[in-house]
Amino acid sequence: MQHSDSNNKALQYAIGWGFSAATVTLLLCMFSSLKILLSVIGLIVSLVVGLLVFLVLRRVEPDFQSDTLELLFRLSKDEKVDQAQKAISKALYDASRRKDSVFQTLLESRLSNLTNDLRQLGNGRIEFANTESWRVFYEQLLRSPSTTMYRSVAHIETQHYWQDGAGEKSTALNLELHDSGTVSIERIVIIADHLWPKDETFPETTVRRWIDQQHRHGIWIELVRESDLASEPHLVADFGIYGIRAVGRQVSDSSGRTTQFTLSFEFSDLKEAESNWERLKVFSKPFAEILDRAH
Amino acid sequence: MDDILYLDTARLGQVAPSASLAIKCALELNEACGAAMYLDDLLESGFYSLPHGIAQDFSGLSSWRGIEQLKRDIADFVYPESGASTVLASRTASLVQVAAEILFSRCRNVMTTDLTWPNYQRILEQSPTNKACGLTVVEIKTKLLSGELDSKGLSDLISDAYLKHGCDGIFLPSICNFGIRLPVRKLMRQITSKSQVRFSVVDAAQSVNHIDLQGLEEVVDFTIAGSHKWIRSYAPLAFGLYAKQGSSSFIKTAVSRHLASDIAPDPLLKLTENADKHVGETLNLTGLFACSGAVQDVKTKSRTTNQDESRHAILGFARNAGWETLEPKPEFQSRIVMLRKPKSRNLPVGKLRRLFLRKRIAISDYAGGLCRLSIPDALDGNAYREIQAALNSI
Repeated sequence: MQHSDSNNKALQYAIGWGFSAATVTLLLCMFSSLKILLSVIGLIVSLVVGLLVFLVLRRVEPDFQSDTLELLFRLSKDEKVDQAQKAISKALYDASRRKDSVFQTLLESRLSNLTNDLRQLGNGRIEFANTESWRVFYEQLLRSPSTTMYRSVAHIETQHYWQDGAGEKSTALNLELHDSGTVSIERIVIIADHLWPKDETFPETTVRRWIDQQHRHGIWIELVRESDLASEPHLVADFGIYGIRAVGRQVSDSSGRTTQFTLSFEFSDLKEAESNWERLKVFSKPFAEILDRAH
Repeated sequence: MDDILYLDTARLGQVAPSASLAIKCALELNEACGAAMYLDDLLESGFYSLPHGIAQDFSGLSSWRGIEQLKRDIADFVYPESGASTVLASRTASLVQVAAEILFSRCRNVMTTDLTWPNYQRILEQSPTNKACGLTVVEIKTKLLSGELDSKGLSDLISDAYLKHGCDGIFLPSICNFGIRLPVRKLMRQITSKSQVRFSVVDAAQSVNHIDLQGLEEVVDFTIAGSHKWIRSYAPLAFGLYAKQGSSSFIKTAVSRHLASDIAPDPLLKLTENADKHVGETLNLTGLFACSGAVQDVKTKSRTTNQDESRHAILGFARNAGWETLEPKPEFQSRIVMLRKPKSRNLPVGKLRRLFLRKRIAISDYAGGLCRLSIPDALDGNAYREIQAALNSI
């Protein structure tokens, strides 16, 4: 096993190092001054102490490919994951005992989907499909004490965006948290051209009303037309950055309902979202400035 | 009592005649009628709502035409033809509190300078309710008072610091309590050419009826001032002005929210925003009547001024008498002059003020032997002689 091989090598290095250090010390003792001897002993002791600290504090990632027992042992330390793992294992065992060929085919397909979902979870991502239930966790994140800033990009393709009951509640939540000073909220609104024609100062009425409502509560809002992002289509997205903790991406249908919402706690996703946010600010204009220029 | 030569408008203005009359009549009305309904009618609808018989006896209140008219008069006086909106309060600190709430909810890093009035700076420092907000203070006082900085130097220093610290909000005095006048319009234009300003506030407590502020409402979101210094209402009344379309709506909302959430909001702010006719405490309305009288006087009085000549003369007398003159460059000068007597550095605060008072001159003094003189509209020959004599003898 690879672990044993690497441990043997480590032992050989340690013995070799110790033998060399002892030899050097003996030679110095015989042929050198006390000062030099003490300095070298001090150096060796310091290195050993440092190595010990490293060994104590290091996190060794188990080699799961070859050490399943190690993996199960690690999982057992997290009670809820351990319980789920046991339940899943039992269920898989029960399923594997059913020999019906159609069932087995279905099982294979379902397991493949489950594996993908769990891999996503392992990467810190959770997906919600065709449901507004993500808003529960959206609220949890925003109300969390560690969230003091929320940067949101809204991609509006329909005047129904956030105009249904669930959307209105989320808007009210934003206003409540911003008013209380608990969360500093900023929003960039990407508006489809048919809702904000180039010859119009302001977007279509319903969209403007939604923007104005947030502006009246002091939320910093910037607007950009979708066509202005034609050269960087990857920026046209609907996402929110929750402090430095997580990022959520939303895909909606033509009636403004969520078809997919992905919440990611993965640092690389957060970095990408922040980069896109900064890039969007190159194209967007503050709503306050648009108001000033209109009068 | 011999007339005092009053050079302390920067602390508290000598009451204007119509303001004095309005205060006197308000007291007499109370003496005659107490808190009868006449007071409610007077407050809401102005002097001309009083029955003829009552109005005759208290004609000194004729400048009072109701809360909304006072708001319009103040806006028209400070920012003519701007359509600015006004909020009234009993203390400027209340309006600074509202401004701070907006600044720290909208901005991530607010810039102030060491010219900010200390009480206001404390409000700003203690205000942030959001952990994501910061406050950056730029030190410019010493360099300005010594004449080291010119207009370009100041603009560059402030705008560079604003950019370097990632500021997106600003709180500046138009004239500080030491008489340094900041070119706010120019500063704001330079800052906005390089950076974003999400909310800007100017403290104009020393500026209204001291310098021309017209045009400032186009570059600054919220202006805060009071009526008891250069407007000379004596009874203090604070007012805030805002005219920019981009910020008017959320300033209005912020005022309402402040009133709803504060445990003990400013009662005059509460009353004049129609938030509640019953403010829950007895309110001193004198500031309203006095301010309307003072604003009327300011608008109707023609002014003959020789401030530049006066400033030049006083500084000359001071130098000749061995005083140190703290002179910023001409573009930063105002009607406030700062002097220091080198040998008086260790005198307790109040001592120099008393010494000048013995010479029948009213001034302000500060630690370190620093004196502040506020130059009135015009000084005559007698006044010059008195000032020269006082500076020579102290």
